[in-house]
Amino acid sequence: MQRTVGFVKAVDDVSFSIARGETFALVGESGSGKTTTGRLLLRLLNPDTGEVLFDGRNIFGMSKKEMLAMRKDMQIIFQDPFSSLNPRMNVRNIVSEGLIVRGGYTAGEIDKWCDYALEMVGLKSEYKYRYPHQFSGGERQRIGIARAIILEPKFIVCDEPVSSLDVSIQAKILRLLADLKERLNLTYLFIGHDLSVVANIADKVAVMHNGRIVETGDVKSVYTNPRDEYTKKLLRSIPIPDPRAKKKA
Amino acid sequence: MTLLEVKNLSTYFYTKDGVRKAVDGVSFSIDMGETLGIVGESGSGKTVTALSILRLIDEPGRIVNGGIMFDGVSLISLSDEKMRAVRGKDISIVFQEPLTALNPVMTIGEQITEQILAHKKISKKEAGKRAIELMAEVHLSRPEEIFYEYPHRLSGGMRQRAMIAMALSLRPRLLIADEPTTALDVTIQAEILELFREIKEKHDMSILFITHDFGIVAQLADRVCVMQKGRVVEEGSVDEIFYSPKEDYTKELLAAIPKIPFSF
Repeated sequence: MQRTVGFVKAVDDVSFSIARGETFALVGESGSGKTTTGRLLLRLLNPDTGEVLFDGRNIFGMSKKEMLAMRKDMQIIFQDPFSSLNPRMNVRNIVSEGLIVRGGYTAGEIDKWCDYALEMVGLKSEYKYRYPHQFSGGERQRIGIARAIILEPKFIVCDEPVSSLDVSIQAKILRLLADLKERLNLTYLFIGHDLSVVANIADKVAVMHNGRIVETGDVKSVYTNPRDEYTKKLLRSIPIPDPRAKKKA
Repeated sequence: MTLLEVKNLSTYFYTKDGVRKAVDGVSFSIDMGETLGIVGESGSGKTVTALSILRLIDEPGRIVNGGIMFDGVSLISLSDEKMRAVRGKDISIVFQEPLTALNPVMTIGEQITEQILAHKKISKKEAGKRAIELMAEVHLSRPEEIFYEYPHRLSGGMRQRAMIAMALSLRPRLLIADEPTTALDVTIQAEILELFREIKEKHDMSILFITHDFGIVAQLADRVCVMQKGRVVEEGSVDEIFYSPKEDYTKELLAAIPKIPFSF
């Protein structure tokens, strides 16, 4: 796939595949193209060339109607819990937006689905009538996750879902994501820059640099036997939370 | 030998929604040549503590209680004029966002020389020479060219190096670094941390390093203060904090650090 923005090749000849039930991580620093790739997978952007095959079918070749059906299966969780929720909508409307937009559900049915989604992410159903500003960062991220799972998708793009959260909240949200993956049979594309986070949650990892994938493999092999120079540099840069592992000046 | 002693510091913010006790009875000290890491999550009060030491707290905030002794001098009772002399010369600070901390309409060279000239009676030419030496010291390549560049033309890492050069320009006894690498990519962060390590070894300077990242604390700090909701929860040597934490909150934070589940 390729998407050219002016003369910057944001995503340049990127290829990878994600098996059902896998957590595939895309890591890279700013400008690596990982977020653009995530958006392309959901057809939130159009590529200049290339395809994305979901369950064997190219999403870029689909009609509007086919795309609508497809969108039920592919969802996204965003990084910033503060800008990704509409401040003027209550939690019920935010979480159930996917259902409301598709139509054909009674208010009662929507309430039931909303309660289900909130319960799955550990939030009380009474919270339906509150507004985003009444919640903490971690809770808002849970609301975003509830929104992503309400349509019972197969695949979720998690775009740096914990990068804006305090470390103690991060751990809880990562556990929630792992838990939901098991309970709901999900497949994840996890986009991140924190290699320690990725090592815990992902099965496979692709390292991106300047729009290209420089290395792919299962997490343990890539971390213990990196082949690419940039991957090695990235791994060396992790500050190890152990005073005895101090690097010499 | 103690360089900085903070005793029972309290800084409150008086807003229309009530009082926010950003810093509430905080005490710690930093010895000469020591690096103290203050670690805490958002809202713990670590930045307000740093700003209080430099008396950079504006309305509606106020230091309501406590003492700050720097090399035997009480900073709280200094006049504004004397405090201005302390800032930059004896105690300097590096902030998280160099893009907002640097003046966008002045070149890097102008900003560093301005800083030097505010405290030292030397010629502009000499100050310029000194600025270039400092830029080379922080490994800014081609300092003579960067001298004439504006901040927006530099990368994040280069801007941070420029900020560090400014902070070092008058050889302060205490350098405060408030999350200086949080806004940087991880490979650039590693380079800047390496720079701090170098500065630590070369100069007989104390560093107050504020961060939320335990990895950074482990790499740089001699001693650590863990803060939560405006208070110091636990204090100790870096080994004590990591290997024998006493408080539940410290243990909780350490447990939350994502650890790579295999050796590599």
